Amino acid sequence: MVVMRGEASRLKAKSVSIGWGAHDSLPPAVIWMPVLLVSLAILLPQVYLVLRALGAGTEIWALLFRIRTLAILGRTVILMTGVTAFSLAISLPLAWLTTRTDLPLRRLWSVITTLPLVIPSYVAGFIIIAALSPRGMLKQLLAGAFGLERLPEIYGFSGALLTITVVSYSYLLLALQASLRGIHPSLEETSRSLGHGSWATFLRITLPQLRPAIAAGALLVSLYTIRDFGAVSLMRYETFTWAIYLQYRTSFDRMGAAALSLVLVVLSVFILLVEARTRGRGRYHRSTGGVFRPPMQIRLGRWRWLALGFCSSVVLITLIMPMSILGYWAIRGISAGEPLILAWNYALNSVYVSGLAAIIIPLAALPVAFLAVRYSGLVGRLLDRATYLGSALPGIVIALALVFFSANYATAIYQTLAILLFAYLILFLPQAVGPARLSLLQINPRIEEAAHSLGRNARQTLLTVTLPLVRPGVFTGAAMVFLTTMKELPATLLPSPIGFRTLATSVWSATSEAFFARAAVPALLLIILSSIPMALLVIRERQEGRERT
Amino acid sequence: MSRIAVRCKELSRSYGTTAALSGINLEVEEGSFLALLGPSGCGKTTLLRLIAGFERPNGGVVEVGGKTVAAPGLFVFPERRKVGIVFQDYALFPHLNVGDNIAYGLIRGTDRKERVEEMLSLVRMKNYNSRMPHELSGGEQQRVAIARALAPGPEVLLLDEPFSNLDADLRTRIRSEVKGILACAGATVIFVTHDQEEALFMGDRVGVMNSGKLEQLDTPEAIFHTPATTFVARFIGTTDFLDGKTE
Repeated sequence: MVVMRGEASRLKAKSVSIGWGAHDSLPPAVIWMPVLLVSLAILLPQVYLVLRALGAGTEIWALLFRIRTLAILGRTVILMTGVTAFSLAISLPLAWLTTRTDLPLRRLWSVITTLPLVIPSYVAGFIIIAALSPRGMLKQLLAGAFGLERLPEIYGFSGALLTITVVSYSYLLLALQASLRGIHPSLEETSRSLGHGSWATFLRITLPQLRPAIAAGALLVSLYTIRDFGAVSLMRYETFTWAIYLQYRTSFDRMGAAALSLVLVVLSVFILLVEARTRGRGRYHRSTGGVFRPPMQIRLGRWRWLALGFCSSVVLITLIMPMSILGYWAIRGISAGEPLILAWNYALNSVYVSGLAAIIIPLAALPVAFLAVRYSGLVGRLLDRATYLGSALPGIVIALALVFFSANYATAIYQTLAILLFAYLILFLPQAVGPARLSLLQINPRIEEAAHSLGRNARQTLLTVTLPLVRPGVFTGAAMVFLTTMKELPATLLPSPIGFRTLATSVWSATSEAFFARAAVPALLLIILSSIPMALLVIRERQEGRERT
Repeated sequence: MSRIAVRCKELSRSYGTTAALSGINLEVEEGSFLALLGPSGCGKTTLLRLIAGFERPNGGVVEVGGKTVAAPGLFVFPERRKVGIVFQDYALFPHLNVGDNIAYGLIRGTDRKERVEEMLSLVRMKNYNSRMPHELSGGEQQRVAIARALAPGPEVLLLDEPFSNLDADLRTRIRSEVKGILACAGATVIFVTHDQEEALFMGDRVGVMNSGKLEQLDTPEAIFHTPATTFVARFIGTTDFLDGKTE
């Protein structure tokens, strides 16, 4: 998503420089009114959270001191560093092997190593606990076979590290692969011709070129880690998100939760700013012209077996084992008579709210996208930026802010579907704005002018020309929103109406009580249901690609 | 007769079923300039890459400095061949300054600093040692790339379309400048171009290539006045053709 936003702003810059598509004048009310409403709505709970925490005055410092904020910060940073280092250790060899060597089945490896991205962290957490916990599968297996009683503790740091690495290392891998493919082969070939072998060339030439990609990918992984709620809560490792939840649930200490949220927001915004900076600086080198040719392929020789062993262990641990464990528990759950009808109800609930979100959010995104593309004046830019603020904040913080806000000032919608959808709107609006904006950018305003010259007024032109042309972008945005809403845990857990359970919350609560057989069926359903929009997107992209050629 | 710096015998290379090069035979004497001329896709760049060791031949032999570097069952990696190369995009290492770029191929412990200075003065860029590549103009970048490739004292220097990235009015001036630098260094040079005038101007000898075959290898005069095939005649210039049979 972050990547897509970058793409959009670059395209925007381009269209502005060409000189059409951007007006500096104030947009008409039909556009700025809804955008203003949306951005005010988005800002309101966040401003409330800040005021609430600051309202405590000097008390806030005592509060932060009392709840051992430093220890939580320490754990968060250690986990973030650990996950990033671990992800780099996996991704760098994988990326190099799949782009520079004659590794057998290179294409296949580079595709399946990105698949773990679709597994929500709490599902991965559930699977790892089901396999490795004191009551888990491996324990029973080993106890039966060898009489082994003790296993390394999976709860805590090691469990959180393993879980989050499995579901997030692909961000880094994708960044590295893209960068490795972009480095012009002549650099490495020149180094070889100057007397340096493939290893020295990698260290002295390739690695320095990869530095921006490593930074960008590492920041994405870090951001994922500090915002993650599912894995750390299941592994009972008290980083910010889990500590905020505990403060809120156990002590009903709203001040404490708000104060911790603020610290997390500061950390999150800091990482986002660093990320934006590294992305802005871009690549060192823009290769000019020349025919594209694949880089010189390094022959692995007998190292091939080691390389294949490495790739297959990564895939075994991150994909094959999790899926088989999930399948095993699902079958056990069904044969033990777990009520399937419950899982079915959860699935219906999930599809229902995600479907609503996938209708409402893209509609709210349209005026925002329109404003961003066609009106690049100060007002337009400010409103556009405001809608992005939500994406800078972790889900748990937004959920909390909305719960506090609605409990105090909007009791009519407290713990209703409306507040739940509102949380999704704040969180996922940018995901719908991005594709809509890209589609709008591809429309030449001359087409609209042509419609005007044929006697259509602004409204008619919008309905008969612009909107039909933006439809693909709206569709993509809806699919993305559906997908992420299905998976979203903390923003669903907190503001949901009492008794309203989705697949995400039921997997989470069954796992935290170690009912593995009960968690397996919803987890499986969740993965299957969220792959449908993903598959639709991929198929459509293929078709479009074919039409274009 | 002087030493042979590069020799190719029956060299061939194919991708799948299409032959990119077939049966290439050529020798380059030490200190001489060979221009490989041909339309795009004729295999001239592939030949360069086979000599450098970036690709493996399917058959035939490559010798550099009297040593066999590629033959059936034998392949010497590019880093062991003592072949310098200057790419079309110059490929300066963007994270290293000019001096470090030139020193990259020099062995540690030897007088690297002196050698860098020597190369900088050869390409007339004495005060550029600590500049970064992106601060240089296209022509300057090219001279650094040449200095870097020449610094370790290669047996042969390969130039891939060296002037195609330059503006047309610059090209003529830089062409003679580069020729001067290379002659001054006493380098053996093989360079690839699709520009007839450039090949005739730069090369002591010119090899005209077409669909993976070397059509003619001779002095510029001979190529111009007595082309061996119709393709060479057509490619070299405006020639009138008379269809007929000799009896």
